[in-house]
Amino acid sequence: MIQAQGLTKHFGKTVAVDELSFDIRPGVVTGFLGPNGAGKSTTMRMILGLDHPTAGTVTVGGRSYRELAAPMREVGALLDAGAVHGKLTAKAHLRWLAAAGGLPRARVAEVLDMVGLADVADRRVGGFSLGMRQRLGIAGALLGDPATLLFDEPMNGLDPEGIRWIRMMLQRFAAEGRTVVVSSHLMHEMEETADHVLVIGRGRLIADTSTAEFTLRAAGSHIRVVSPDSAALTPLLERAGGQVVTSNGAFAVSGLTAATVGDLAAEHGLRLHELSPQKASLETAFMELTQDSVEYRPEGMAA
Amino acid sequence: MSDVDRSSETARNGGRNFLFTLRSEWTKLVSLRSTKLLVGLAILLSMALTALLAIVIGETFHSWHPIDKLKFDPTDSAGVGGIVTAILFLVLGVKAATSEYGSGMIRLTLTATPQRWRVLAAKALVVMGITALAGLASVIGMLLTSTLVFSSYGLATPDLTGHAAVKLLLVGSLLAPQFPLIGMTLGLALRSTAAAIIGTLGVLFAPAFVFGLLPSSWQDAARWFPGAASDGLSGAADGLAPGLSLAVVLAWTAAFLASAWIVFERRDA
Repeated sequence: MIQAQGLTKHFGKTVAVDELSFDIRPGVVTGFLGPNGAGKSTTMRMILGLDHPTAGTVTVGGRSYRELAAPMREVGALLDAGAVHGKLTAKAHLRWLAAAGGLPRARVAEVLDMVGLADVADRRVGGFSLGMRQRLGIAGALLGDPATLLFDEPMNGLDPEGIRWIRMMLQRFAAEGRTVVVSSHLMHEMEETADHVLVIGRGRLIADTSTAEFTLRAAGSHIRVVSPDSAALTPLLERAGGQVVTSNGAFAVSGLTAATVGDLAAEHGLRLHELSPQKASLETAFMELTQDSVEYRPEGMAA
Repeated sequence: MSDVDRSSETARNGGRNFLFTLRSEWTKLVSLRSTKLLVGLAILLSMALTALLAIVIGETFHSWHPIDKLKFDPTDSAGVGGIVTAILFLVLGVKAATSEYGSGMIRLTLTATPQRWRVLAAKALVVMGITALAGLASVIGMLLTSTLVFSSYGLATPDLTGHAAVKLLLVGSLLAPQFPLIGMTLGLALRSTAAAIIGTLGVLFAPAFVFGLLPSSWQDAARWFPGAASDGLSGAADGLAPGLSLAVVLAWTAAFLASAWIVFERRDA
Protein backbone atom coordinates (compact mmCIF):
# COMPACT_ATOMS: atom_id res chain seq x y z
CA MET A 1 0.00 0.00 0.00
CA ILE A 2 1.39 3.36 -1.07
CA GLN A 3 -0.37 6.50 0.11
CA ALA A 4 0.24 10.04 -1.04
CA GLN A 5 -1.31 13.10 0.56
CA GLY A 6 -1.02 16.47 -1.13
CA LEU A 7 2.34 15.43 -2.57
CA THR A 8 3.98 18.46 -4.21
CA LYS A 9 7.37 19.11 -5.74
CA HIS A 10 8.70 22.37 -7.10
CA PHE A 11 11.98 22.70 -8.98
CA GLY A 12 12.59 26.42 -8.79
CA LYS A 13 9.50 27.95 -10.35
CA THR A 14 8.50 24.76 -12.15
CA VAL A 15 5.76 22.75 -10.47
CA ALA A 16 6.67 19.15 -11.29
CA VAL A 17 4.13 17.48 -9.01
CA ASP A 18 1.07 19.35 -7.84
CA GLU A 19 -0.85 18.13 -4.78
CA LEU A 20 -1.11 14.48 -5.71
CA SER A 21 -3.21 12.32 -3.41
CA PHE A 22 -3.72 8.63 -4.08
CA ASP A 23 -3.77 5.17 -2.52
CA ILE A 24 -2.13 2.34 -4.42
CA ARG A 25 -3.49 -1.03 -3.31
CA PRO A 26 -1.87 -4.45 -3.28
CA GLY A 27 -2.97 -7.35 -5.43
CA VAL A 28 -3.32 -5.49 -8.70
CA VAL A 29 -0.97 -3.97 -11.23
CA THR A 30 -1.34 -0.20 -11.07
CA GLY A 31 -0.32 1.70 -14.16
CA PHE A 32 1.12 5.13 -13.52
CA LEU A 33 0.43 6.99 -16.73
CA GLY A 34 1.28 10.36 -18.09
CA PRO A 35 3.06 11.98 -20.99
CA ASN A 36 6.80 12.56 -20.71
CA GLY A 37 7.46 15.30 -18.19
CA ALA A 38 4.15 14.77 -16.39
CA GLY A 39 5.90 14.15 -13.07
CA LYS A 40 5.87 10.33 -12.94
CA SER A 41 9.56 9.87 -12.24
CA THR A 42 9.64 12.71 -9.74
CA THR A 43 6.73 11.11 -7.90
CA MET A 44 8.52 7.75 -7.87
CA ARG A 45 11.69 9.37 -6.57
CA MET A 46 9.69 10.97 -3.77
CA ILE A 47 8.10 7.61 -2.90
CA LEU A 48 11.65 6.24 -2.59
CA GLY A 49 12.91 9.11 -0.44
CA LEU A 50 15.35 10.28 -3.12
CA ASP A 51 13.69 13.66 -3.74
CA HIS A 52 12.35 15.70 -0.86
CA PRO A 53 8.72 16.79 -1.33
CA THR A 54 8.15 20.54 -1.27
CA ALA A 55 4.86 19.77 0.52
CA GLY A 56 2.74 16.76 1.40
CA THR A 57 3.71 13.22 2.35
CA VAL A 58 4.00 9.82 0.79
CA THR A 59 4.25 6.56 2.73
CA VAL A 60 4.88 2.92 1.94
CA GLY A 61 3.05 0.56 4.28
CA GLY A 62 2.30 3.50 6.55
CA ARG A 63 5.84 4.78 6.91
CA SER A 64 7.95 7.20 4.94
CA TYR A 65 10.60 5.39 2.93
CA ARG A 66 13.54 6.91 4.75
CA GLU A 67 12.20 5.51 8.02
CA LEU A 68 12.04 1.91 6.80
CA ALA A 69 14.41 -0.29 8.77
CA ALA A 70 14.96 -2.79 5.95
CA PRO A 71 13.81 -0.96 2.80
CA MET A 72 14.93 -3.63 0.36
CA ARG A 73 12.76 -6.22 2.08
CA GLU A 74 9.75 -3.94 1.73
CA VAL A 75 10.19 -2.13 -1.57
CA GLY A 76 11.92 -3.15 -4.78
CA ALA A 77 12.48 -0.42 -7.33
CA LEU A 78 13.69 -0.18 -10.90
CA LEU A 79 14.29 3.47 -11.72
CA ASP A 80 16.84 3.64 -14.49
CA ALA A 81 18.20 0.37 -15.78
CA GLY A 82 21.18 2.22 -17.24
CA ALA A 83 22.27 3.49 -13.83
CA VAL A 84 24.74 0.71 -13.17
CA HIS A 85 28.49 0.92 -13.13
CA GLY A 86 29.43 -0.63 -16.47
CA LYS A 87 32.71 -2.06 -15.18
CA LEU A 88 30.96 -4.25 -12.62
CA THR A 89 29.85 -7.75 -13.50
CA ALA A 90 26.17 -8.58 -13.05
CA LYS A 91 27.08 -10.67 -10.03
CA ALA A 92 29.30 -8.01 -8.42
CA HIS A 93 26.57 -5.44 -8.93
CA LEU A 94 23.95 -7.57 -7.20
CA ARG A 95 26.43 -8.46 -4.47
CA TRP A 96 26.97 -4.94 -3.25
CA LEU A 97 23.24 -4.35 -3.47
CA ALA A 98 22.50 -7.50 -1.45
CA ALA A 99 25.15 -6.47 1.09
CA ALA A 100 23.55 -3.03 1.45
CA GLY A 101 20.20 -4.61 2.20
CA GLY A 102 21.67 -7.13 4.61
CA LEU A 103 20.40 -9.89 2.33
CA PRO A 104 22.01 -13.31 2.04
CA ARG A 105 24.48 -13.69 -0.81
CA ALA A 106 22.61 -16.76 -2.04
CA ARG A 107 19.79 -14.46 -3.19
CA VAL A 108 22.08 -13.13 -5.93
CA ALA A 109 22.15 -16.43 -7.79
CA GLU A 110 18.44 -16.94 -7.19
CA VAL A 111 17.34 -13.63 -8.69
CA LEU A 112 19.80 -13.95 -11.60
CA ASP A 113 18.13 -17.24 -12.32
CA MET A 114 14.64 -15.75 -12.02
CA VAL A 115 15.32 -13.10 -14.63
CA GLY A 116 17.23 -15.43 -16.93
CA LEU A 117 20.69 -13.86 -16.52
CA ALA A 118 22.42 -16.78 -14.79
CA ASP A 119 24.54 -17.47 -17.89
CA VAL A 120 25.94 -13.94 -18.05
CA ALA A 121 26.44 -13.45 -14.29
CA ASP A 122 30.19 -12.94 -14.67
CA ARG A 123 30.01 -10.58 -17.61
CA ARG A 124 30.46 -6.84 -17.28
CA VAL A 125 27.25 -4.87 -17.28
CA GLY A 126 28.75 -2.39 -19.74
CA GLY A 127 28.33 -4.95 -22.51
CA PHE A 128 24.68 -5.66 -21.73
CA SER A 129 21.83 -4.80 -24.09
CA LEU A 130 19.04 -2.59 -22.80
CA GLY A 131 16.83 -5.63 -22.34
CA MET A 132 19.50 -7.37 -20.25
CA ARG A 133 19.95 -4.25 -18.13
CA GLN A 134 16.21 -4.10 -17.52
CA ARG A 135 16.35 -7.70 -16.39
CA LEU A 136 19.30 -6.95 -14.12
CA GLY A 137 17.42 -3.98 -12.67
CA ILE A 138 14.43 -6.20 -11.98
CA ALA A 139 16.72 -8.80 -10.40
CA GLY A 140 17.98 -6.07 -8.05
CA ALA A 141 14.42 -5.08 -7.16
CA LEU A 142 13.58 -8.70 -6.35
CA LEU A 143 16.60 -9.32 -4.09
CA GLY A 144 14.72 -8.61 -0.87
CA ASP A 145 11.53 -10.40 -2.01
CA PRO A 146 9.60 -7.16 -1.28
CA ALA A 147 5.85 -6.70 -0.92
CA THR A 148 5.94 -3.55 -3.03
CA LEU A 149 7.45 -3.19 -6.48
CA LEU A 150 7.97 0.09 -8.32
CA PHE A 151 9.08 0.00 -11.93
CA ASP A 152 9.71 3.20 -13.86
CA GLU A 153 9.20 2.67 -17.60
CA PRO A 154 10.37 -0.96 -17.50
CA MET A 155 9.32 -1.63 -21.08
CA ASN A 156 11.27 1.22 -22.63
CA GLY A 157 13.33 0.00 -25.53
CA LEU A 158 12.35 -3.65 -25.16
CA ASP A 159 11.43 -5.95 -28.01
CA PRO A 160 7.95 -7.54 -28.02
CA GLU A 161 9.32 -10.68 -26.40
CA GLY A 162 10.83 -8.64 -23.55
CA ILE A 163 7.62 -6.67 -23.09
CA ARG A 164 5.62 -9.88 -22.87
CA TRP A 165 8.07 -11.24 -20.29
CA ILE A 166 7.81 -8.15 -18.07
CA ARG A 167 4.04 -8.08 -18.41
CA MET A 168 3.69 -11.68 -17.27
CA MET A 169 6.10 -11.12 -14.41
CA LEU A 170 4.20 -8.05 -13.18
CA GLN A 171 0.90 -9.86 -13.30
CA ARG A 172 2.36 -12.77 -11.40
CA PHE A 173 3.66 -10.45 -8.67
CA ALA A 174 0.26 -8.81 -8.34
CA ALA A 175 -1.43 -12.22 -8.18
CA GLU A 176 0.91 -13.06 -5.28
CA GLY A 177 -0.66 -10.15 -3.42
CA ARG A 178 2.11 -7.61 -3.90
CA THR A 179 1.65 -3.93 -4.60
CA VAL A 180 2.88 -3.39 -8.16
CA VAL A 181 3.31 0.03 -9.74
CA VAL A 182 4.47 0.47 -13.31
CA SER A 183 4.92 3.83 -14.96
CA SER A 184 4.68 4.34 -18.67
CA HIS A 185 4.02 7.01 -21.21
CA LEU A 186 2.87 4.39 -23.71
CA MET A 187 -0.78 3.66 -23.20
CA HIS A 188 -1.12 0.50 -25.22
CA GLU A 189 1.48 -1.15 -22.97
CA MET A 190 -0.66 -0.50 -19.94
CA GLU A 191 -3.91 -1.52 -21.55
CA GLU A 192 -2.93 -5.17 -21.31
CA THR A 193 -0.76 -4.90 -18.20
CA ALA A 194 -2.48 -2.73 -15.63
CA ASP A 195 -5.71 -3.45 -13.78
CA HIS A 196 -5.86 0.04 -12.36
CA VAL A 197 -4.55 3.33 -13.68
CA LEU A 198 -3.38 6.55 -12.10
CA VAL A 199 -3.18 9.18 -14.80
CA ILE A 200 -1.26 12.38 -14.27
CA GLY A 201 -0.75 15.35 -16.53
CA ARG A 202 1.41 18.33 -15.64
CA GLY A 203 1.89 16.94 -12.16
CA ARG A 204 -1.83 16.71 -11.41
CA LEU A 205 -3.94 13.65 -10.89
CA ILE A 206 -6.50 13.39 -13.66
CA ALA A 207 -7.80 9.88 -13.20
CA ASP A 208 -7.60 7.16 -10.55
CA THR A 209 -9.74 4.31 -11.75
CA SER A 210 -9.80 0.78 -13.11
CA THR A 211 -8.36 0.36 -16.57
CA ALA A 212 -11.73 -0.98 -17.79
CA GLU A 213 -13.63 2.02 -16.51
CA PHE A 214 -11.02 4.41 -17.78
CA THR A 215 -11.43 3.21 -21.34
CA LEU A 216 -15.19 2.91 -20.95
CA ARG A 217 -15.62 6.48 -19.78
CA ALA A 218 -13.59 7.81 -22.62
CA ALA A 219 -15.15 9.45 -25.64
CA GLY A 220 -16.12 6.92 -28.26
CA SER A 221 -16.82 4.21 -25.71
CA HIS A 222 -20.41 3.06 -26.02
CA ILE A 223 -22.60 0.00 -26.10
CA ARG A 224 -23.97 -1.14 -29.39
CA VAL A 225 -27.52 -2.43 -29.01
CA VAL A 226 -29.72 -4.06 -31.64
CA SER A 227 -33.31 -4.71 -30.54
CA PRO A 228 -36.62 -5.20 -32.33
CA ASP A 229 -38.24 -3.46 -29.30
CA SER A 230 -36.15 -0.31 -29.57
CA ALA A 231 -39.17 1.98 -29.32
CA ALA A 232 -39.90 0.68 -25.81
CA LEU A 233 -36.23 0.29 -24.78
CA THR A 234 -34.98 3.77 -25.71
CA PRO A 235 -37.00 5.75 -23.12
CA LEU A 236 -36.08 3.20 -20.42
CA LEU A 237 -32.37 3.67 -21.12
CA GLU A 238 -32.68 7.43 -21.17
CA ARG A 239 -34.49 7.41 -17.84
CA ALA A 240 -31.63 5.29 -16.42
CA GLY A 241 -29.17 8.02 -17.38
CA GLY A 242 -27.93 6.81 -20.73
CA GLN A 243 -27.54 8.80 -23.92
CA VAL A 244 -28.96 7.04 -26.92
CA VAL A 245 -28.12 7.70 -30.53
CA THR A 246 -30.03 5.70 -33.11
CA SER A 247 -28.55 4.80 -36.44
CA ASN A 248 -30.24 2.43 -38.96
CA GLY A 249 -31.66 -0.25 -36.72
CA ALA A 250 -28.87 -0.31 -34.15
CA PHE A 251 -28.34 2.27 -31.44
CA ALA A 252 -25.36 3.41 -29.43
CA VAL A 253 -25.78 3.83 -25.69
CA SER A 254 -23.23 5.74 -23.69
CA GLY A 255 -23.10 6.40 -19.96
CA LEU A 256 -24.37 2.92 -19.01
CA THR A 257 -22.64 -0.42 -18.69
CA ALA A 258 -23.61 -3.39 -20.85
CA ALA A 259 -24.87 -5.15 -17.70
CA THR A 260 -27.30 -2.30 -16.91
CA VAL A 261 -28.67 -2.29 -20.45
CA GLY A 262 -29.13 -6.06 -20.41
CA ASP A 263 -30.79 -6.06 -16.98
CA LEU A 264 -33.19 -3.26 -17.95
CA ALA A 265 -34.25 -5.14 -21.06
CA ALA A 266 -34.79 -8.36 -19.13
CA GLU A 267 -36.84 -6.64 -16.41
CA HIS A 268 -39.24 -5.34 -19.01
CA GLY A 269 -39.30 -8.46 -21.18
CA LEU A 270 -37.70 -6.70 -24.17
CA ARG A 271 -35.71 -8.65 -26.72
CA LEU A 272 -32.04 -7.91 -27.49
CA HIS A 273 -30.36 -9.21 -30.61
CA GLU A 274 -27.02 -7.64 -29.93
CA LEU A 275 -25.38 -6.10 -26.88
CA SER A 276 -21.72 -5.29 -27.26
CA PRO A 277 -19.41 -2.81 -25.53
CA GLN A 278 -17.40 -0.79 -28.03
CA LYS A 279 -14.28 0.33 -26.22
CA ALA A 280 -12.18 3.28 -27.16
CA SER A 281 -8.54 2.45 -26.69
CA LEU A 282 -6.71 3.54 -23.57
CA GLU A 283 -4.59 5.61 -25.90
CA THR A 284 -7.57 7.69 -27.04
CA ALA A 285 -8.86 8.04 -23.50
CA PHE A 286 -5.48 9.16 -22.32
CA MET A 287 -4.92 11.67 -25.10
CA GLU A 288 -8.27 13.18 -24.41
CA LEU A 289 -7.70 13.47 -20.68
CA THR A 290 -4.20 14.82 -20.79
CA GLN A 291 -5.09 17.30 -23.53
CA ASP A 292 -7.92 18.49 -21.33
CA SER A 293 -5.59 18.97 -18.44
CA VAL A 294 -3.34 21.08 -20.59
CA GLU A 295 -6.29 23.15 -21.71
CA TYR A 296 -7.90 23.79 -18.33
CA ARG A 297 -4.78 24.77 -16.63
CA PRO A 298 -4.36 28.39 -17.68
CA GLU A 299 -8.05 29.05 -16.93
CA GLY A 300 -7.80 27.43 -13.53
CA MET A 301 -4.83 29.58 -12.68
CA ALA A 302 -6.56 32.76 -13.84
CA ALA A 303 -9.64 32.00 -11.72
CA MET B 1 24.52 -11.71 29.90
CA SER B 2 21.32 -12.41 28.01
CA ASP B 3 19.64 -9.41 29.67
CA VAL B 4 22.36 -7.20 28.38
CA ASP B 5 21.92 -8.71 24.94
CA ARG B 6 18.23 -7.94 24.94
CA SER B 7 18.53 -4.42 26.26
CA SER B 8 21.08 -3.53 23.63
CA GLU B 9 19.16 -5.14 20.78
CA THR B 10 18.15 -1.85 19.18
CA ALA B 11 21.70 -0.60 19.31
CA ARG B 12 22.95 -3.85 17.87
CA ASN B 13 20.47 -3.66 15.00
CA GLY B 14 21.69 -0.18 14.19
CA GLY B 15 25.24 -1.44 14.36
CA ARG B 16 24.45 -4.43 12.20
CA ASN B 17 22.77 -2.22 9.61
CA PHE B 18 25.85 -0.07 9.51
CA LEU B 19 27.99 -3.15 8.94
CA PHE B 20 25.76 -4.02 5.95
CA THR B 21 26.36 -0.58 4.47
CA LEU B 22 30.07 -0.85 5.17
CA ARG B 23 30.29 -4.24 3.47
CA SER B 24 28.33 -2.92 0.51
CA GLU B 25 30.57 0.13 0.05
CA TRP B 26 33.64 -2.06 0.42
CA THR B 27 32.37 -4.48 -2.24
CA LYS B 28 31.59 -1.58 -4.54
CA LEU B 29 34.95 0.16 -4.18
CA VAL B 30 37.13 -2.93 -4.49
CA SER B 31 35.13 -4.13 -7.52
CA LEU B 32 36.05 -0.95 -9.36
CA ARG B 33 39.00 -1.37 -11.67
CA SER B 34 40.13 2.21 -11.03
CA THR B 35 40.63 1.40 -7.32
CA LYS B 36 42.97 -1.51 -8.00
CA LEU B 37 44.76 0.46 -10.68
CA LEU B 38 45.31 3.51 -8.47
CA VAL B 39 46.52 1.48 -5.48
CA GLY B 40 48.86 -0.58 -7.66
CA LEU B 41 50.22 2.48 -9.45
CA ALA B 42 50.73 4.38 -6.20
CA ILE B 43 52.80 1.60 -4.67
CA LEU B 44 54.85 0.95 -7.81
CA LEU B 45 55.47 4.61 -8.69
CA SER B 46 56.44 5.56 -5.13
CA MET B 47 58.94 2.69 -5.09
CA ALA B 48 60.25 3.69 -8.52
CA LEU B 49 60.72 7.30 -7.43
CA THR B 50 62.56 6.17 -4.30
CA ALA B 51 64.73 3.83 -6.34
CA LEU B 52 65.57 6.67 -8.73
CA LEU B 53 66.58 9.03 -5.93
CA ALA B 54 68.56 6.32 -4.14
CA ILE B 55 70.42 5.45 -7.34
CA VAL B 56 71.29 9.12 -7.95
CA ILE B 57 72.58 9.36 -4.36
CA GLY B 58 74.52 6.12 -4.73
CA GLU B 59 76.12 7.22 -8.00
CA THR B 60 77.15 10.67 -6.73
CA PHE B 61 77.87 10.00 -3.06
CA HIS B 62 81.67 9.83 -3.49
CA SER B 63 81.73 13.44 -4.70
CA TRP B 64 79.54 14.83 -1.87
CA HIS B 65 80.91 17.46 0.52
CA PRO B 66 82.03 15.80 3.80
CA ILE B 67 79.39 17.75 5.78
CA ASP B 68 76.64 16.56 3.44
CA LYS B 69 77.99 13.04 3.82
CA LEU B 70 77.63 13.38 7.59
CA LYS B 71 74.08 14.68 7.29
CA PHE B 72 73.04 11.84 4.95
CA ASP B 73 70.06 9.96 6.34
CA PRO B 74 69.09 6.90 4.23
CA THR B 75 65.53 7.03 5.59
CA ASP B 76 64.84 10.41 3.96
CA SER B 77 64.82 9.05 0.45
CA ALA B 78 62.17 6.54 1.44
CA GLY B 79 59.67 9.36 1.92
CA VAL B 80 60.10 10.92 -1.49
CA GLY B 81 57.37 8.85 -3.16
CA GLY B 82 54.82 10.28 -0.75
CA ILE B 83 53.75 12.99 -3.18
CA VAL B 84 52.87 10.38 -5.83
CA THR B 85 50.79 8.33 -3.44
CA ALA B 86 49.12 11.49 -2.13
CA ILE B 87 47.91 12.48 -5.60
CA LEU B 88 46.85 9.00 -6.70
CA PHE B 89 45.03 8.29 -3.42
CA LEU B 90 43.28 11.62 -3.68
CA VAL B 91 41.94 10.54 -7.08
CA LEU B 92 40.83 7.26 -5.49
CA GLY B 93 38.86 9.17 -2.86
CA VAL B 94 37.23 11.39 -5.47
CA LYS B 95 36.29 8.39 -7.61
CA ALA B 96 34.73 6.60 -4.64
CA ALA B 97 32.08 9.32 -4.70
CA THR B 98 31.86 10.48 -8.31
CA SER B 99 31.78 7.05 -9.97
CA GLU B 100 28.25 6.71 -8.58
CA TYR B 101 27.14 10.02 -9.99
CA GLY B 102 28.52 9.40 -13.45
CA SER B 103 26.44 6.26 -13.80
CA GLY B 104 23.45 7.42 -11.74
CA MET B 105 23.99 4.43 -9.46
CA ILE B 106 23.79 6.74 -6.42
CA ARG B 107 20.00 6.47 -6.64
CA LEU B 108 20.20 2.73 -6.27
CA THR B 109 22.62 3.14 -3.36
CA LEU B 110 20.27 5.52 -1.59
CA THR B 111 17.24 3.36 -2.32
CA ALA B 112 19.03 0.44 -0.67
CA THR B 113 20.26 2.63 2.18
CA PRO B 114 18.00 5.65 2.63
CA GLN B 115 19.87 6.67 5.80
CA ARG B 116 22.36 8.86 3.95
CA TRP B 117 24.70 9.41 6.89
CA ARG B 118 25.32 5.68 6.81
CA VAL B 119 26.37 5.81 3.16
CA LEU B 120 28.65 8.77 3.82
CA ALA B 121 30.22 7.23 6.93
CA ALA B 122 30.70 3.83 5.26
CA LYS B 123 32.29 5.40 2.18
CA ALA B 124 34.60 7.45 4.41
CA LEU B 125 35.67 4.40 6.42
CA VAL B 126 36.28 2.32 3.30
CA VAL B 127 38.34 5.09 1.69
CA MET B 128 40.26 5.51 4.95
CA GLY B 129 40.91 1.79 5.30
CA ILE B 130 42.07 1.27 1.73
CA THR B 131 44.32 4.33 1.61
CA ALA B 132 45.80 3.68 5.06
CA LEU B 133 46.69 0.10 4.12
CA ALA B 134 47.96 1.08 0.70
CA GLY B 135 49.90 3.97 2.27
CA LEU B 136 51.53 1.56 4.69
CA ALA B 137 52.36 -0.82 1.84
CA SER B 138 53.88 1.99 -0.15
CA VAL B 139 56.10 3.15 2.75
CA ILE B 140 57.25 -0.42 3.38
CA GLY B 141 57.95 -0.74 -0.34
CA MET B 142 59.96 2.50 -0.34
CA LEU B 143 61.99 1.51 2.74
CA LEU B 144 62.83 -1.86 1.25
CA THR B 145 63.71 -0.27 -2.10
CA SER B 146 66.12 2.23 -0.54
CA THR B 147 67.64 -0.50 1.66
CA LEU B 148 68.26 -2.59 -1.42
CA VAL B 149 69.77 0.24 -3.48
CA PHE B 150 71.92 1.75 -0.72
CA SER B 151 73.30 -1.63 0.37
CA SER B 152 74.33 -2.36 -3.22
CA TYR B 153 76.34 0.90 -3.15
CA GLY B 154 77.77 -0.03 0.25
CA LEU B 155 76.11 2.98 1.90
CA ALA B 156 74.25 3.14 5.20
CA THR B 157 70.73 1.69 4.94
CA PRO B 158 67.58 2.87 6.71
CA ASP B 159 67.33 1.60 10.28
CA LEU B 160 63.99 -0.19 9.92
CA THR B 161 63.34 -0.24 13.67
CA GLY B 162 64.66 3.25 14.24
CA HIS B 163 62.69 6.32 15.17
CA ALA B 164 62.73 7.82 11.66
CA ALA B 165 61.47 4.66 9.94
CA VAL B 166 58.70 4.05 12.47
CA LYS B 167 57.58 7.65 12.13
CA LEU B 168 57.58 7.30 8.36
CA LEU B 169 55.41 4.18 8.62
CA LEU B 170 52.99 5.83 11.03
CA VAL B 171 52.67 9.03 9.04
CA GLY B 172 52.51 7.16 5.73
CA SER B 173 49.57 5.07 6.83
CA LEU B 174 47.71 7.35 9.23
CA LEU B 175 47.99 10.51 7.16
CA ALA B 176 47.32 8.77 3.84
CA PRO B 177 43.51 9.03 4.19
CA GLN B 178 43.49 12.82 4.77
CA PHE B 179 43.34 14.05 1.17
CA PRO B 180 41.38 11.04 -0.14
CA LEU B 181 38.71 11.91 2.42
CA ILE B 182 38.69 15.56 1.37
CA GLY B 183 38.51 14.34 -2.24
CA MET B 184 35.56 12.12 -1.41
CA THR B 185 33.66 14.97 0.25
CA LEU B 186 34.29 17.28 -2.70
CA GLY B 187 33.29 14.45 -5.07
CA LEU B 188 29.99 14.07 -3.23
CA ALA B 189 29.39 17.80 -3.21
CA LEU B 190 30.46 18.57 -6.80
CA ARG B 191 29.40 15.25 -8.41
CA SER B 192 32.12 15.66 -11.05
CA THR B 193 35.43 13.81 -11.09
CA ALA B 194 37.38 16.59 -12.81
CA ALA B 195 35.99 19.38 -10.64
CA ALA B 196 36.58 17.42 -7.44
CA ILE B 197 40.17 16.49 -8.36
CA ILE B 198 40.99 20.09 -9.22
CA GLY B 199 39.29 21.23 -6.01
CA THR B 200 41.22 18.78 -3.85
CA LEU B 201 44.53 19.59 -5.50
CA GLY B 202 43.64 23.22 -4.84
CA VAL B 203 43.09 22.51 -1.14
CA LEU B 204 46.41 20.65 -1.08
CA PHE B 205 48.61 23.10 -2.98
CA ALA B 206 46.88 26.46 -3.32
CA PRO B 207 47.50 27.76 0.22
CA ALA B 208 51.27 27.30 -0.08
CA PHE B 209 51.23 28.92 -3.51
CA VAL B 210 49.03 31.86 -2.53
CA PHE B 211 50.85 32.55 0.72
CA GLY B 212 54.13 32.35 -1.14
CA LEU B 213 53.05 35.48 -3.03
CA LEU B 214 51.98 37.34 0.12
CA PRO B 215 54.24 39.34 2.46
CA SER B 216 56.21 37.22 4.89
CA SER B 217 54.19 38.46 7.87
CA TRP B 218 51.34 36.36 6.46
CA GLN B 219 53.39 33.19 6.21
CA ASP B 220 52.43 31.98 9.66
CA ALA B 221 48.82 31.61 8.61
CA ALA B 222 49.81 29.20 5.83
CA ARG B 223 50.74 26.56 8.39
CA TRP B 224 47.11 26.22 9.46
CA PHE B 225 45.90 24.89 6.09
CA PRO B 226 45.39 21.13 5.60
CA GLY B 227 48.44 20.45 3.44
CA ALA B 228 50.88 22.39 5.59
CA ALA B 229 49.42 20.98 8.80
CA SER B 230 50.07 17.43 7.66
CA ASP B 231 53.62 18.46 6.69
CA GLY B 232 53.95 19.63 10.30
CA LEU B 233 53.05 16.13 11.42
CA SER B 234 55.70 14.57 9.26
CA GLY B 235 58.17 16.95 10.88
CA ALA B 236 58.71 19.85 8.48
CA ALA B 237 61.07 22.35 10.08
CA ASP B 238 58.78 25.39 9.96
CA GLY B 239 55.54 23.55 10.72
CA LEU B 240 53.27 23.50 13.74
CA ALA B 241 54.04 21.25 16.70
CA PRO B 242 53.05 17.61 15.98
CA GLY B 243 50.17 17.54 18.48
CA LEU B 244 48.74 20.79 17.15
CA SER B 245 49.25 19.60 13.57
CA LEU B 246 47.26 16.47 14.29
CA ALA B 247 44.43 18.53 15.78
CA VAL B 248 44.41 20.85 12.75
CA VAL B 249 44.40 17.91 10.32
CA LEU B 250 41.52 16.23 12.16
CA ALA B 251 39.56 19.49 12.40
CA TRP B 252 39.86 20.16 8.65
CA THR B 253 38.85 16.60 7.77
CA ALA B 254 35.88 16.77 10.12
CA ALA B 255 34.83 20.11 8.64
CA PHE B 256 34.92 18.72 5.09
CA LEU B 257 32.98 15.62 6.16
CA ALA B 258 30.36 17.66 7.99
CA SER B 259 29.84 20.01 5.04
CA ALA B 260 29.50 17.05 2.66
CA TRP B 261 27.00 15.46 5.01
CA ILE B 262 24.83 18.59 5.09
CA VAL B 263 24.81 18.88 1.29
CA PHE B 264 24.28 15.15 0.75
CA GLU B 265 21.46 14.88 3.27
CA ARG B 266 19.46 17.79 1.91
CA ARG B 267 19.91 17.41 -1.79
CA ASP B 268 17.60 15.52 -4.13
CA ALA B 269 19.44 12.46 -5.38
